[in-house]
Amino acid sequence: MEIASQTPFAGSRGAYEGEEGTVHFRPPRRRYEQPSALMTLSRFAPMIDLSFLLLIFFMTTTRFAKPEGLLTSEMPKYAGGSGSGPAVPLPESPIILRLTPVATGADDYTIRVDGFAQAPARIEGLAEFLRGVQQRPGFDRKTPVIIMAHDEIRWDHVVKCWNAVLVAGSENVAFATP
Amino acid sequence: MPARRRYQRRGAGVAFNFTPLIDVMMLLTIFFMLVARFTSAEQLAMLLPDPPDSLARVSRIPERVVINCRVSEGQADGGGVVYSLGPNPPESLAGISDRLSVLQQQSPRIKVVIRADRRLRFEHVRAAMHAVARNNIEVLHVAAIAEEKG
Repeated sequence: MEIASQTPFAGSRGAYEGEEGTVHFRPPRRRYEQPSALMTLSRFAPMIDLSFLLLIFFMTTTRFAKPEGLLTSEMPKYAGGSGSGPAVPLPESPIILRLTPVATGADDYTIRVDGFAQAPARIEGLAEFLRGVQQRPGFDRKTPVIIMAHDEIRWDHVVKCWNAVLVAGSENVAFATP
Repeated sequence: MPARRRYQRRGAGVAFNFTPLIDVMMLLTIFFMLVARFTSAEQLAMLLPDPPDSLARVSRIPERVVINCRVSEGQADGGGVVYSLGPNPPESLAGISDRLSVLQQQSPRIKVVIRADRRLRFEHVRAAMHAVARNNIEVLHVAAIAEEKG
């Protein structure tokens, strides 16, 4: 009891006498004040600035493009010559695909496969046809397939034809000049 | 008797709730950061061949040179062609061939990627292929649109 009376808090506003005369200090109550909207905004302003900057950057620079891939090929050893290109002997029994334009300068094309009259004239169905050819005696996946494209054929058709040959499972594809 | 503080009721102010805005912004930012892919300067914008069931593989080749073959302006039918080596300005195929020769001597394992516009005629791309073969570069890659997975 004596201690209580000596405590500097005794008698002050924040002190009260508990059980057995112990004096506890109770801080003055502070009322919780909800921060104003302006205060909240000012706290988050740098983060919002940065988020907006990143968002605008990515929204303006992102282009939803299809992914670009690569078709790999091995080039023949260059045998020199006056300019027509690599001179490489053709294999003995290849499958020769000829891509020719329907009319000069036209975007349309037709396909012929030497020795196969029933071959499809379009790229659609070419892979299926080549798979059928590979089942025949004397042909397999290693049988060379030679693409002979006319100069005026669109590059798109050549790549589509090349891709169809790869889809058929052929492992040996070459380009040749008609 | 101590003076009691009167509870003062505040007037109902109009406040803006920023939480959903920040949530949406964060979601969009994370989405764009994940889907964004930075293309290199050597990949000039052009229409690449887009074969069905494409077997073109997306791969990174460390030592590579890109030959861009684009349709010249005003000739959308593919009649004219512009060649350029990577991000460099357009030049003749003979000039590109000379540069390839130097590059091949510097690093014999160099690989070449031909990026050709799908509207070009085969003769233009074949000329680029010959330039590559003439410099004894053994591996050639041709760019095409790859099949999207998933």
